[in-house]
Amino acid sequence: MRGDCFRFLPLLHDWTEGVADQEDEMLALSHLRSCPRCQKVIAEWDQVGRLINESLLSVSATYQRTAFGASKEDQPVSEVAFSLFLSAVAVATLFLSFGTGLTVYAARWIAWLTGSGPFLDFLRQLTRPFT
Amino acid sequence: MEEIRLIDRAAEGDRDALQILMVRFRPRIFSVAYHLLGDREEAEDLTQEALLRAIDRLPYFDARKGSFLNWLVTLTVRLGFNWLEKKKREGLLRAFSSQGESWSETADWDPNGFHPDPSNDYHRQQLIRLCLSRLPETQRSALLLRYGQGMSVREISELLGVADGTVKSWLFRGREALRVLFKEIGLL
Repeated sequence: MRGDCFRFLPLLHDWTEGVADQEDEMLALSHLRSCPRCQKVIAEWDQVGRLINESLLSVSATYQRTAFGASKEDQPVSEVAFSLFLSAVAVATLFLSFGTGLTVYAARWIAWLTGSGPFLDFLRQLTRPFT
Repeated sequence: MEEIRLIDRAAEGDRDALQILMVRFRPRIFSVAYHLLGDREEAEDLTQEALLRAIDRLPYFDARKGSFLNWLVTLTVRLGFNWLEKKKREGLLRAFSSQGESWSETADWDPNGFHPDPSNDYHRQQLIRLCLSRLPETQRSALLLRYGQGMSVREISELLGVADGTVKSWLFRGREALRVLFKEIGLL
């Protein structure tokens, strides 16, 4: 860093914050154009700001998860998709069980009315209380 | 708009609206408090105090003057300043005022037994907070308000009751100190 950089750094900082007056801004910019080191410092300041924000957001998100449990807004897409899949499986299982029961019951009635043989006799025994 | 309606309802005594607001903003307030005080339990206490104060003052919130979050953060920072002053008076504040130590000497882990890795998210967050804790609280709070809340120099100066030039100076010194620290530990 050149000796005069230290003189320009506060002006450059005010310029990055948008609070430098016109004269300071011109001075700072004329220095900045010819000074790669100050250009690097400005890029690093920008990074510092981002890291502070990142840290605040990170603590906030962690707190939200630990204190309240993850809200739906914060839930990752994969988790939402997985819970939807589980719900779909549960509904399908319910319908399948109900459908199978209904089919067996209908088959027993048909067998009782129309068929013959040991198996159908067995079915007749089963359905007798209903007739 | 939804937020304004919630605030109005909460100010009129609607407990559900108040609950929604508190749940929504509490994490962010805690985060500011934690970065300001550097201690989880104290940050939790300060968050609680700030939210209680906010409930009391809810009817005075004016949406034309800024966002609700900034209003809450303002309350938190002011209370945080009082908190730090009180702690200083009680002589309990340790790391913040120490001079001439390297960052690792005030680390909340054993510097000899553990080497934080800046590429690890968790370690990086720890390092950032640790570096922030090395700054005077004025610089720290100015940086949190500027880069965390996106407040302008003018807004911060009004909030903290100091001149614009003072805030500019805090921001410059704080950011430059952090830049040097971050480079030293490999965050930049």
